[in-house]
Amino acid sequence: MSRPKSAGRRGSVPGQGSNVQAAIRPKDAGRQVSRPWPGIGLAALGALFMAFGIYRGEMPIVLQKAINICMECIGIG
Amino acid sequence: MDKKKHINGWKRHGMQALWALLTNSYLIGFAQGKIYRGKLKNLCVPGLNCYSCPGALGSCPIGAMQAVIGSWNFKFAFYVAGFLVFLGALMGRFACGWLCPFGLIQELLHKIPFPRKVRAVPGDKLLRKLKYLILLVFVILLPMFLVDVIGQGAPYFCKLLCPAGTLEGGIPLVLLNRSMRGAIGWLYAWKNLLLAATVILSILVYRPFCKYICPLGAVYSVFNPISVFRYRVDKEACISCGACAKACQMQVDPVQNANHPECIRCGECKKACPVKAIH
Repeated sequence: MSRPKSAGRRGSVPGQGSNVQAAIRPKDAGRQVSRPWPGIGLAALGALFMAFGIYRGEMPIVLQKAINICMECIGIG
Repeated sequence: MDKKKHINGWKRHGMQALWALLTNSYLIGFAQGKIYRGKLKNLCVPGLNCYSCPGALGSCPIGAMQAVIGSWNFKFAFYVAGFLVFLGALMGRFACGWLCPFGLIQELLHKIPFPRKVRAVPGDKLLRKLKYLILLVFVILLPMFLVDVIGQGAPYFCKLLCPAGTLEGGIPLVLLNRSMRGAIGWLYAWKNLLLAATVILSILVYRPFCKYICPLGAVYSVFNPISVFRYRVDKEACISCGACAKACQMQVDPVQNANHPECIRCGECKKACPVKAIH
């Protein structure tokens, strides 16, 4: 179930369309190369949300709930 | 090769167990039937870990989210949502595969030998959507709108559905506190029934709670396709042998979609690939 390494590889013949891209990044040939920017942007947004939530006083609510036995959670309340 | 895969599998379980121990290391709680009340509980842990577990040092993000949404003065939990967005955007469902104690428990239960393991339950595709409905209704809408006279909502997911709270908090605390034993009723029975069903299903099916019910997994799954750290398949190196799809116990085909929302980043596909095409 193997096939020749060069089969389907982009830019394997000089002068063909995506040859320049393959020459610049031969290691990435065939790999799905995608940008991390959406993830980085969302992570930054998440950090901003956290900072805003802390600023407006949500943390004490989290703490107050967590340090008292949650009767609903354990099936009593 | 099989032995190496087996050892590597237990490495991940070792990480899961270590993290579970670290985040539930308040051993005095187990000895005295109480919970940790210190400042560390300002912080959420990445996995589903009830804050009423006697050993828990951090807060459950799903419980914390319901607490803030259900409070009389806030109707959106920026802090908790931000925490989940931050983690999800960085690593998708990695927390499910490596940092969730309840996920570990299900995986260990699934290792119990049983003649008829079920790889995919009937209606699996539809059931996978159920966790998103549970997130919307029980974690967000009910605490927001079903409130008492002073405008406070209850943590409805924790109260009515979560088996982790029963296992990690309900059973130990009731066993260790006589006063609580006198207070148990139909809700405790219902929660234990859910827990028993989860335990039995986990023996038959791989991670049934994670696949069909967990709202935390539902949140993280949204970020799988775009997280900073995600899998890449080298389509040139791939020989379409199907070993990765066969190895995946979440029924994901990495060649079709290496960052499927159901992928818990366990790495089994990567280990199974004979040509190292998954990175």
